[in-house]
Amino acid sequence: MKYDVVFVGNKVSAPDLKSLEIPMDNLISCKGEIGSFFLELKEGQDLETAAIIVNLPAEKELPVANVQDFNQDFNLEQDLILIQDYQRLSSADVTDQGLKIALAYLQQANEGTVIYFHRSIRFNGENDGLFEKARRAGVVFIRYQVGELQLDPQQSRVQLNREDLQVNLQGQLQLASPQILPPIPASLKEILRLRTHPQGYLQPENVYLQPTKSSRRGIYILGISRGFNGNTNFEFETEYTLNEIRAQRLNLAKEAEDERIVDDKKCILCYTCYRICPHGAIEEEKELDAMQILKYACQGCNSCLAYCPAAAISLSETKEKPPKEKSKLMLVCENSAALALARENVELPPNIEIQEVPCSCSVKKEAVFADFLQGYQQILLLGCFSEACRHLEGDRRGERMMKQVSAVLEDLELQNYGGKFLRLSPRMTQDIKVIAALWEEGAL
Amino acid sequence: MKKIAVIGGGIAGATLAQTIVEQGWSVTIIEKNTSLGGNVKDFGCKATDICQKCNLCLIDKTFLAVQQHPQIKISFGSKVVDLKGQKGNFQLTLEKNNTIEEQKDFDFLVIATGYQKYSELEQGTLEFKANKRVIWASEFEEMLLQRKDHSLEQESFWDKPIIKAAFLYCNGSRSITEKAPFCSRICCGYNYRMGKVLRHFYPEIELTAFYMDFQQAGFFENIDITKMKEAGFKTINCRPIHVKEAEDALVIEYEEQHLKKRKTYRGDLLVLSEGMHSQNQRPDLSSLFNLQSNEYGFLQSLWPDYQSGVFLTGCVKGPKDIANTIADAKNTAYSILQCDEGRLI
Repeated sequence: MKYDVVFVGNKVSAPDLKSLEIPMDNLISCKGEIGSFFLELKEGQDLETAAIIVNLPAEKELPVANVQDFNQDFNLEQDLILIQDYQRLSSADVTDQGLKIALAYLQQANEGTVIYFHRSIRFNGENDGLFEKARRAGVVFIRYQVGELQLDPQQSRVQLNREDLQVNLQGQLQLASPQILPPIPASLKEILRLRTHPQGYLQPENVYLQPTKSSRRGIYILGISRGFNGNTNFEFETEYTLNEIRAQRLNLAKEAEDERIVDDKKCILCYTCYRICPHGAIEEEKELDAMQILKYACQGCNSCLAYCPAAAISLSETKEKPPKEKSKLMLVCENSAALALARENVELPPNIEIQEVPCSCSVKKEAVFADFLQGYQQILLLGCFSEACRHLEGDRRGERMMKQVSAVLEDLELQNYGGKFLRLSPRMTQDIKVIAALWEEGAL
Repeated sequence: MKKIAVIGGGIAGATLAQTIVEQGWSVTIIEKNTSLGGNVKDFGCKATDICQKCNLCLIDKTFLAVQQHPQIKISFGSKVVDLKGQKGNFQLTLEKNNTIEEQKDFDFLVIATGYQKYSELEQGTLEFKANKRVIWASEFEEMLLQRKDHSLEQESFWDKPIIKAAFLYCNGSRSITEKAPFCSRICCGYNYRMGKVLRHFYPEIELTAFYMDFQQAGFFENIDITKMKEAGFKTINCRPIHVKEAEDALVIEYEEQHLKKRKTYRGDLLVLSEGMHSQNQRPDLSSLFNLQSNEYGFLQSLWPDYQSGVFLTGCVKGPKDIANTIADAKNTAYSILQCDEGRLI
C-alpha cells in the first residue's frame, strides 16, 4: 500500500491525502526518493510513501511549578493574569493564543480584569486586529524586562519591580510555557539523512529551504522542529506543504536537467558520495553492487562527481570543452556569478575564458590540474558568499579544494601557475568587473 | 491548454507564472512598468561578509526564467481598464500607450498588484529631508543596491560622515492616525540587517533603535533586546515625539519611559521604516474584479476564488515578507491547478 504522506510525529488533517502517523522513534530506515520513499518500521512493517512530513510535538515545560499554561479554562470569579515571554521571547502564535484567552475571559465575565504581562507583542497571520481589540476591551498590558517579574504560585501572586512601577497583584496565573524542541533521537537525522541546524533543529538555516523544505527533497519540516519560531505561521505553512505534495502527485518534475550515472564496474562502494551528497540523493543498489543516483532527488550540484575517488560517476552527456587558447580560466557558479553575468552584459578582458559550473563544490582537483595541462595558467573559482549556497556547503568545499591546489603549486614552485578561490560580495556584477580588471593587472 | 492572466509582475506574479507554466499552461503577465520586479527591484542585498538571509536572491532566477520562457507573454506598460466574461472565458481590456487592446479567453485571473510604500503616500515631508539626514528605508535600499564592492557611497550620498545613526521602527504601521493599525512584518528584519550592514562598513558607528515591540525577522532570527545588543544597537522603547534639525546634527526628542522624562538624542542619520500599505493607486481594482477591502484596505475575495476564477496572491492580501510572498504565490498556483482538476481544497 502506498501512502501520499507519512507524518513523523503529529498528524495534520488532510482528508484527500492517504496519510499515516508514526512516532518518531518507530522508524528504522528510510530509503528511496521523493515520489516513493520506502520506510521500515519497528513493528516489522514496511510501507511506501510519496512524501514525509516531520512535525514533532513541542515539549512544554513550565519554568515555574504549580502555574497553569495558557488555556481557555479559566475561573471567572478571579482576575486573570497572563504572562508571556517569561524566560525567552515567545513566538507570535503565543501572543495570538494569549490575546484570544484574554478576549474570551472578558466576554464571559461580567466583572474582572485581565492583566497581560509581556515583553513583545508579536504578530503572525491574521492577528493584527486582536491587539487593538484587546486594548479597547480593557485588557491591561504591562511591559517588563528580564528579571523584573517575580512569581509566587502558592499565593497566586505576581510582583513587578520596574524602575517606575511597582505592582503586586493577585489572581489566577497563566504562564505561557516556552516551546522546546523534544529530544530528537540522533538516529532520526541519520535515518532521514538530513543536514541539520547546529542547535539541533531539523532544518538548516538556508534561504533556499524556505519555508518548510529540508535538505532532502520530499521531506518537509513543520512546526517546532523547523526552529524556535517554527509555529508562527503554522497553518499557512501546513497548507503550503500539503499543496506542494498534492502538486507533486499531479506532476513530479526533475530538479536537475542532466543525469549523473554511476559506473557499476568502477564503483568501489566506499560511500564517499553517500556522505558528501547534500541532498541525500545517493543510495546503494544491492543488485548491481554499486551506488546509484536517484534522479528525482538529485539537484545537480555535481559534488559526487568531484569527490568520487574511483571516478565512477559521470554526466550522461559530457559537453565538449572549447579549444583552449586563453591563458586564464574563470569558473563561475551557475547560481551566483553566472546569473550576474547573464543579467548584465559584462565585458571581460579577452584573455579570460568563462566556464560555468553547477556549484563550487563540483570542481575537481584533478580537473583543475588537467586544465593547467591544457594550457591555462591561472584558474579562478568564484563562489557564492558564505552561508548562501544553494547546496548548503558548496562554497566551503570549493574554497578548501582551491587551497589544496595552490598549496601543491607552491610545493612544486610553479610561479607562473595559480589557483585561487574568491567569494563574491553582494554586488556580484561589479565584483566580477573589478576582479577581472585586477586579475588582468596581476594584482589579485 | 489553459490560459491565465496575472496582473502585476512582482515577486508574487512572477513566482506564480513560473509555477503555472511548469504544468504546461500559458500565462500572460500584465505589468504597468517597463520591467518586471515591482517594489523588490529597488532592494539591495543586505549581506555583510556573510549572508544575512534577507531572501532577495531567491527571486533573481525567477525573473530571468519568466522573461525567457516561451509560454509567458509579458505586456509591459499596460494596465487593465475593463473586464468582461466569467471563469473560463475572461476578456480583458488593456490600456497601453494610450491605445486600447483586447485580450481574450483567459480561464483564470490572478491579481498580484502588491503593496504601496509608505513614502509614496506620505503627505508632509520633513523640510530637512533635503540634505539626506533623514532617509526612507527605501532610499537606504537603493544605496545598498548601488553599493560598490566594499564600501557604501558615503561621500556622495551624505554631506558628512555618519557617526551616530538611528532607526525608527514601525513608521507607517501600527498607528491608527496613519490609518494602518496593522504590523508590516518586515521592518524589524530589515532595520536589523541594515544596522548590521552599517556596522560592517563603519565599525565605530553608534546605532540606536526607536522601537515598539521586536517582531520575528524571517527565517531564524529571533530579534530581542539581547540580540539587538549583540548587533550593537542601543534600544529606546519609544516613538520619537519630535524631530528637528540643529546646526550640524539631527535632534530627536523622545520620552524615557522609566524616568518619565523628555530627553533628546543627537545624531547624524535617521532611517525611517516604511510600512506596507494597500495599493491606493488603483482604487478601482475592487469594483473591476468584484472584490472587497478588509478593514486595513487590503483586498479580499467576495466569493470563494475557485468559484469566481479570480485569485489573489502576495501582498495585495496583506503585508508579507519575501519568503512568505513566494510561498503564498506557489500556494495560489497549486490551488489554481487543482481547481482545474476538479479537486477543491
